[in-house]
Amino acid sequence: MYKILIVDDEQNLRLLYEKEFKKEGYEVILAESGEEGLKMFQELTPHLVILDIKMPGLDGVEAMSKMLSIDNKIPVILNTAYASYQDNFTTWAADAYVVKSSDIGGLKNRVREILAERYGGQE
Amino acid sequence: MKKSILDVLLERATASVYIDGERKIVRIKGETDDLLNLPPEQALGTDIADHLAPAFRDTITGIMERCLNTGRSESVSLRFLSGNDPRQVLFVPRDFSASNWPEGAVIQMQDITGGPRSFDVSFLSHELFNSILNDIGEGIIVLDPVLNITHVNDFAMHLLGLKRESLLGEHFSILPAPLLELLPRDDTARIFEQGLESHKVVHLTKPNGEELSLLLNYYPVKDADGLVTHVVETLQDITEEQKTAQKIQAINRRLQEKVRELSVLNKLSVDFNTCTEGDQLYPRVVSTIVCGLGFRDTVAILSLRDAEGSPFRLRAFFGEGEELARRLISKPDPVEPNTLIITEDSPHLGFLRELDLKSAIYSPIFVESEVIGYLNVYHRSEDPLIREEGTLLRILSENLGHFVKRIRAERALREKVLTLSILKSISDAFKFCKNLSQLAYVYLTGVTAEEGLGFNRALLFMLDEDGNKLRGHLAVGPATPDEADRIWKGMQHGSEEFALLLHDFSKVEALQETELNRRIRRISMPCDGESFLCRVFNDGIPMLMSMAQNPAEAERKALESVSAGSFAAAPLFVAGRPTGLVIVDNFVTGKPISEGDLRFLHLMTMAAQGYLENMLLYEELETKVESLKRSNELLQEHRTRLAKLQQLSALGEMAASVAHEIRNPLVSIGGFARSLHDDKTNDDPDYPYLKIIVDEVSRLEKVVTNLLSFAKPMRAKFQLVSPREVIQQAIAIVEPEFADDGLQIVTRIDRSTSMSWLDQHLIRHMLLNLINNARRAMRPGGKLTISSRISGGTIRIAVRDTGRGIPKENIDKIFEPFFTTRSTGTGLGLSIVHNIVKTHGGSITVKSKVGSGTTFLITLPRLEPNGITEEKSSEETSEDRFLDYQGTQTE
Repeated sequence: MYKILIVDDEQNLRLLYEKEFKKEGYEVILAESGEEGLKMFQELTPHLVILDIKMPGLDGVEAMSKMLSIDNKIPVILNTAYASYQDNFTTWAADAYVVKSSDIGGLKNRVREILAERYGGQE
Repeated sequence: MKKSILDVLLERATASVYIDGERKIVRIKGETDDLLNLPPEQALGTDIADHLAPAFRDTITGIMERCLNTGRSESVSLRFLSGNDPRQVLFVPRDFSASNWPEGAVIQMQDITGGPRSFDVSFLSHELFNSILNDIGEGIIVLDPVLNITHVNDFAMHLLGLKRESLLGEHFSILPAPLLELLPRDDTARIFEQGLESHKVVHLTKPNGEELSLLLNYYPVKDADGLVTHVVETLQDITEEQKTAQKIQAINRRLQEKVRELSVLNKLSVDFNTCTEGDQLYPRVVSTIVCGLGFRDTVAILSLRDAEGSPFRLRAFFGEGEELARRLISKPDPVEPNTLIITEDSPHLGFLRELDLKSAIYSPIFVESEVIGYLNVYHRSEDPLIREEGTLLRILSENLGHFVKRIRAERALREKVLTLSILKSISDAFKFCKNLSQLAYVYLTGVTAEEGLGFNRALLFMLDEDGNKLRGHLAVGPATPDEADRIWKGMQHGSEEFALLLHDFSKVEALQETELNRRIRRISMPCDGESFLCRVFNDGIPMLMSMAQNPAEAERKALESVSAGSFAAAPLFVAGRPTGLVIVDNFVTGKPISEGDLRFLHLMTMAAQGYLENMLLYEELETKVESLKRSNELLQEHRTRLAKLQQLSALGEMAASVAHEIRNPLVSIGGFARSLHDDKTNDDPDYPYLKIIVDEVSRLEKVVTNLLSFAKPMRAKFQLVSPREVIQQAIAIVEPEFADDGLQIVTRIDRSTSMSWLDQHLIRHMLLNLINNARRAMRPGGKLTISSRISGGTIRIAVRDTGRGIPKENIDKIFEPFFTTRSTGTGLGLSIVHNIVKTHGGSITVKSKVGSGTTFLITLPRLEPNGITEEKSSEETSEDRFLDYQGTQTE
């Protein structure tokens, strides 16, 4: 079972994502801030991280670069309401950049693709 | 006193017998013993013949007849019976009617035997007689009844220069002829019976050559019966008096002439001062000369010339016909500064003699010191010319000179006034000109109109924009002599007021189409050379010129087309710089251009210059004002746009922040609804409601997306993608919705698999916006057609619907942000489409018909990895053909 860390400062969204990804059969770890996310990452070593960008304190991009410096192979998906960050080179380190939508299907597909790619069906 | 002395001295009773027509003796006087052989008382009534010797009896009848018929006395020697010696008797026919004689007496027979030769004054000696008579102070000649001289006093002889001996006893006809006047030689009877006194002035020349004037008086000396017995002629020397009288007469004559002269001058003086035309005055002058001075057989001529060097023209003549006058004029006058009198002995007379003229006076007429004409008088008669006539002519000539001077001055003044008034008319017209063509028209018309400068043609050249050539701009006048003829004829019928003509700007256009104008516009001349025209242009001095003076080649060629011969050129300066050139000529009339004309031209040109400068400044001003206006407008536009942009930007920012605020909750709402929806199945009663929530949230998300797209600047992320695939993806997304709405999608997508640099997200977004618009415009049963064609360097995509269409008034606005005709929606869809197209460097057009449908045509450049493809395929088609193109049809 894959472990997925989802970092978002919105509680409702955390709930939603948990529900949906659990439905997909993933183990879901939630964090409500960049710092917490980092901590979780170090402690629980998920297979994939989904980061919101706009968060108080450590924002998603910063958190991502910290994570990558710990493990540069970790797949990261930036999941955000802001489409503009696509142009920001700092986000290019992410494996995917998804604009938040009520239809989570797109996000789910990206997770699936990247996990398959990275871990090749292991576990 | 004289008379009584003489009467006394000379009274003598000579024996006389008075006879009637029948020879009867009717009276006897004196001692007649020697004549009659009867005592007087018995002789009365007898026939006188009876007293004569028989041999003489017949004679007496004849004598008496002769006397009575001729009225002349006759002296004859007859023998009477009473004596032996013959007696000399004088038969004197007399008229006795006045006296108290018995009727009938007609003849007086006087015994004058031993008569006149010895004058018997018995009681007075010769010497005494002489001395008395000599003291009288007059010459005395005494004549007896037969007119023999009986006595002459010393003074008479002194006066006559003759000797007494040669006169005494001689018949009075021996006296110098002048003294015989008044004494009718053949009519002594008259003297002797009428006894009239008479006197006369005579002139005689003494033998020594001395001239004398004598007053002759005749006194009859009568006897007691009142019959004249002697005649005394007295001679009074009045030579001195005569001379004085003559002098006075001469003075009188001169006075009279002077008076005549003065009256002539007086008559003419008024004319000299008031006449305004020579032709009014000159005939009066010549006629007054001839008539006023009372000349007979005289011709007077007046000739004048216009300018130095030109010939004298006949202006007036009087006295005879024109032919003579012209012949007289034809001979050049002798050149003399003063009045010349030509008489018999003058060398100039030869010519005049041919014309049968006897004398002439030539009087030159001067203005300043130049001879401008002649006043000549010619005489046919022998009347000698007098100096006074010459003086009169000289006075008239002087006055004529003054007159001509006055007339010329008046004419010059009038011309100046006319010039000024013309300039004023033209200047006034200049004020109304709005552009260069109108100004040129006024100027050129002023120069060519008869009321203006009256030149036949005027051509205007202006410096072209490059500043090195003079180009023909406008011209007034004919191009060829034939045209001139036509124009002249045309002009004779229309007489426009000069001022109206100047203001008639409607003529400008018509003018530009004349032959001359067409030719002149083709002329272009260099203006920086050394040629005549260049010098006029650059130096700014108007000049006269003739083509014969070897102009520069360029000029000659240029002006060839307008056949310029001799002309004047004047430069036009604007703001101190040479700007134009005017050429004027008298191409039709050939009239030479005078200095005065040139000055006038210069004045007009300067007047025009002022206005031209003003006009050009005004034009510049207008241009600048226009430009400022435009700048202002642009500025306004920019400001408005800026405000709008700012507004949009603010709006955008707000939209962005709102959108972001909204997005997260939407994700929650929609996400959970979808999740719940997915968990449930069809038969759950809540299933459809959850679907609704999902759909509506979807819709809201689209709005948010659009809003956010609009708000942020579009940053395209170009990737090498297949346009075909992108289009297909977009279609795939909307297919379900279309099916739900009962709408049909038809695709005609190019099979080409060529790749292009595109931002596929943006392109997809664009297509989705267009497709959604189409969907909203159509009702169930509608058809959406998507076609694409990739050829060469272009990607063409067409989106056509069968919806309600876009009204004409909205077509221009559909790409404007926030423009929408729907009650819902942001109105951003098409503006985003537009942005996306522009970002890809393409273009979008729309065609729409209300009720039929709308077609959007997008053209994008196909970008290859190495840049924009240069290759233009021959397969590129026009828009319309493309739209009809049947590409691959999918579905």
